[in-house]
Amino acid sequence: MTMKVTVEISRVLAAIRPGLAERAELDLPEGATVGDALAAAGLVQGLWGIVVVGGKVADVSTKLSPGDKVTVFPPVSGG
Amino acid sequence: MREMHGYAGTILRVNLSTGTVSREPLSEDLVSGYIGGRGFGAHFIYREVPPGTDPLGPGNKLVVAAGPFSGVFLPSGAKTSFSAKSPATGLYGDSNIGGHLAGELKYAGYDAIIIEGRAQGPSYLFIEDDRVEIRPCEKLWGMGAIKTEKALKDELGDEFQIATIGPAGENMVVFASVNHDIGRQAGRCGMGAVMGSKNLKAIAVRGTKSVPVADMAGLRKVADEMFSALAANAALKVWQDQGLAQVTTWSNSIGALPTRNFRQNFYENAEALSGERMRSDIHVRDKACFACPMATGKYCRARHRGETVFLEGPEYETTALIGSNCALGSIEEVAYANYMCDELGLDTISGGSAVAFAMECFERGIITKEDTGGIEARFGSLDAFVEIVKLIAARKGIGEPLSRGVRAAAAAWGGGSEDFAIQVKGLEWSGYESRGAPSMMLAYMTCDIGAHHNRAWSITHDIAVGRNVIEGKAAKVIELQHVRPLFDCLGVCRLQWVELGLPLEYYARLYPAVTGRQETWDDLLVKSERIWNLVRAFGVRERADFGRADDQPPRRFYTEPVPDGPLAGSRITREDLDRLLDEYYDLRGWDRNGRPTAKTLERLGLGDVAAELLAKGRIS
Amino acid sequence: MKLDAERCTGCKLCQLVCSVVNFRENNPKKAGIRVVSRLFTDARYDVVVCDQCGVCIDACPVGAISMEDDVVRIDPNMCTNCGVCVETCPNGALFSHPDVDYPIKCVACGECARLCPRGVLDTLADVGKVAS
Repeated sequence: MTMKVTVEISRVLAAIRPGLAERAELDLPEGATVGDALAAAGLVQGLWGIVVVGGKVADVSTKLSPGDKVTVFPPVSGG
Repeated sequence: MREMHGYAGTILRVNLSTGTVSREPLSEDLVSGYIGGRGFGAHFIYREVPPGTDPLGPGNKLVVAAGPFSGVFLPSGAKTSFSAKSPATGLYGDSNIGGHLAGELKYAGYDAIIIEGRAQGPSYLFIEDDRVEIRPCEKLWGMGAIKTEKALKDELGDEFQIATIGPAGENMVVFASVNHDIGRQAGRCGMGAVMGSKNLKAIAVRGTKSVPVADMAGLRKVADEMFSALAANAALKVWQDQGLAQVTTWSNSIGALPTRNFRQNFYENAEALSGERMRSDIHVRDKACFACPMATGKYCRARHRGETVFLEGPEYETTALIGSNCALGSIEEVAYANYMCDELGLDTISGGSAVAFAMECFERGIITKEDTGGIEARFGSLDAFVEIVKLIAARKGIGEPLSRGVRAAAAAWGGGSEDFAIQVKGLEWSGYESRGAPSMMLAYMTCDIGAHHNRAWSITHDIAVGRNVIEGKAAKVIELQHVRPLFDCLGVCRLQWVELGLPLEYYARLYPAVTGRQETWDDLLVKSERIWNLVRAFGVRERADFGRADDQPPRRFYTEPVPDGPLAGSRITREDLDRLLDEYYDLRGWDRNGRPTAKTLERLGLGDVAAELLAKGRIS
Repeated sequence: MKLDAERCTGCKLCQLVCSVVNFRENNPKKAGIRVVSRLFTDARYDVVVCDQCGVCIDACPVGAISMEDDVVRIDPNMCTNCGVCVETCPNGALFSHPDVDYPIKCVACGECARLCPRGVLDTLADVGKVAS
């Protein structure tokens, strides 16, 4: 069984590497976590700061549900 | 006089030597060429401060400038730039300040103040609309920067926006800061020392006028969209809670947190300095700059040895340079040290770096207890930190060489300490250790004012495309060096864009609505490139030997591999640094010695600058 | 009505938007609301704005102030700008400005409440609904 999850990457973060999409629709296995979604969207560790799922701040171990939207912000962009 | 949309329309010129105050209409050339803020600073310092001027003499000038977005209905039009010839670097320097000063200056009727000369005795500049006075203030001299602000607010009223210096500025410590709104500083490049050299303790401003804009309906539409987008932003709450303090944990996790004078980039005790601990242990209230929903200012309380103090902060840079870089043990210790720096009027970045440098010299035996006057200057000691910054502000004992910056202190103390004096161009390195981030390393090496991060912050670019990759990094640094300082010209904060992801298109739409100038974002980027080159030209005009040698990091970064943490063993080589610089100079249209060519300057509308430098034989 | 300014961060966006909406100008001093910093003494901010109590109505010597739909309004044509209302207001919520020849006060338009990032002014939004 797979589930559909949307990952939205903040524009300022998407701009740091060619090919990083601002929005990705992903098919992930059931029980997948935020960390799985970020990896599938092409984000390596260190690239994300605040991650929000369903309006709440999440971390990499947060379990996802079908239809969830994961919003990713840069860790910091140096003031 | 034609109303200039987005601007107050007047430059205020104050000569402290003669006591004269004059007003100059803002010229079309100035506005169309240099926008405002840092751009105005670069223009006036290049044009009016001739080569060889003593940065701490009456011939230097201090330009305090808002931008067209300052004080206007949009998110956080709150930035004021302070520009002068820097006593830290001997080159052009600027530093900006948030809070509530920029708008107030324009409401009083001025886009910028040019401060010249030197007052006979301690003075402050009083501005209330058309009333401008140089007032004596003998009783404020020697007072802390925050206490001075309180004293002036008590006297003048809460509506006055006030910038002050502390004892360090009075004593002309080359990294003395300008303080405003309790805990906002123009910290870098020694702008507080320039004020001190002019016997100028403070600037107090109140204004009741309006800032005209070209298209109020259009402005309201864009601003409304921006405020709505920010309110709906899922990350806003985290920023409201922790401000910039949240960065500490991330920076440590990727091996970028300066630790023990940049020997390491991973601090084993970072959790004790985290944004969460700031929030839970010492936070009192959130505090915002003008018209800003983020409110990254964190008003905090700190106790040390029976004393309780209030301060704004610590934010990330302070936590990095005072906290992990001096190996302090808790966020409350960092906050107390932060308070001491703020009150003394010291930049927490350079101040933290200077103390860390002294601690390493002490632990290596380059300086001894005899030199320190009995201070056990070891990493981790808050007491030592406090004693050393007091000595720096007073310029006594080891504080005297340190007060001239770590480059000068290394020259005074020798013993190989130059290798770990962490600076570029004489300005101490800010909060990102970059051995594992080549583009960030290049950003520090080529930053126009010295080793500061905010012109081009690119660590995530390194992470995304490869932390050992060299090729292609220079292009990213240059792109950022144009777009980011543009915000400092416009007089608006960058955080809403870089941190919360508010698209740049909003700012591109704001510009014609505010100013009535039908120019694109790309047009503005060309102006930003012009300003970048003008600042470079200042160095080239200043010194016959200025160039590539000024763009070098300390030896530590290319001779010592990272000892521990997530990047243990990684390093950057001398050859890597040269490749980065070659690529950077080529893309900029500079020669391999880092000097803009005449052709490049002419392309950017700086033909007269090119002619001047050609005549001196400085460029080709 | 007392505002709960506990959450106020002192950004003064309320003052700025008030001038934009009511005067079509960027000028936080031309506003019917004030944010006052009490950081030095009480580690907080205060927000000063009219609670439509109506004390000024009786104080006005020329009858220029009246209550309309629960909102206290000053008639600029009748007002002589004598300043009695400014001094009488128990909240200090009427403001003089050198370029405006009558005191400026809150007209309950609700715009500051709509934009306040901390919801400090939510009670004003209720007044705004009444007014509109």
